[in-house]
Amino acid sequence: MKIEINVDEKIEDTQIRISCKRLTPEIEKLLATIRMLDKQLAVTKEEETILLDVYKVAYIEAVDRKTFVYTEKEVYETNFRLYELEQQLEEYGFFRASKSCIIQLKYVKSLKTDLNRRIRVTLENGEQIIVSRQYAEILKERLGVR
Amino acid sequence: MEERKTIFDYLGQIFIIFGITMAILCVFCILFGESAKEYSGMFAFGNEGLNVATMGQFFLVSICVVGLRFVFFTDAIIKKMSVTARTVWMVSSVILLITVFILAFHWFPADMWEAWAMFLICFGICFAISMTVTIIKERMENRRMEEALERVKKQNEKK
Repeated sequence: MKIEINVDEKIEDTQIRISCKRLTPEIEKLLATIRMLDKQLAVTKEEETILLDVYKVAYIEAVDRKTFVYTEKEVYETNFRLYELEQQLEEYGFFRASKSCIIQLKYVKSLKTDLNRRIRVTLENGEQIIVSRQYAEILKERLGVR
Repeated sequence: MEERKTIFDYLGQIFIIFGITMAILCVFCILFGESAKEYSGMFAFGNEGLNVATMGQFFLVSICVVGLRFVFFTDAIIKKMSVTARTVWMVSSVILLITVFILAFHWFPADMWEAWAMFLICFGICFAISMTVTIIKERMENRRMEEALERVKKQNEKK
């Protein structure tokens, strides 16, 4: 793979051009990562690939090696692993709730202490997710209440 | 990964309960030991101190209380139950447990209603204090989290 970078002060909009024989899964993943920098996440629903705005994502859950993206009303699937999304979406206000779930703070309606020092998160749509004890401490630190 | 508790965490809890109980009993021993030694096996030495057997019995109570706490205040055994229901079960179980110990080890005569009333009053006061502290602490923590959540959400909106 050849990588070419052209730095020119005259260029006003940054352009990324990929030239390839065919779209391989690796190139698709690369594209998806680039799109995420533009606050978009490549997701699929009924075999259709959609570019979903990150701010619409309420939470992301990993179930049986699959990663599901939840908006307030819809559920999509993505090829990204949860840890990859966690790293890339942290700056957009996502936090780890458990081994299998990350949540966007924007969609959190309330936080309540729960049994065993865990935190019960109520989302704007009324769904409830438990933040495990280990991640509850990290969340409190992030919120500045520890 | 969920942080797993080791045997030392449970031992720590047992010794905390045992230590607090012993401290309270020592105060009771100094205050009422002499007058209670006639009818209470617990204060057989009057205000001179507690005997080893009593300490052993209270150590056993501490182990049982930690066991009950594991049953009712973790989701290892009971997966779904409200905190209120867990508290009610826990309190009922502890009262039952101590009643069994009172009868089995003759801490005071079973037909002495004043002693039972005293036991229930002491237990009630301790429970009310600990519940009040827990509720206040929980409410304060929830409020702090809510405020912090709003603050962080506003910060993220500005980005």
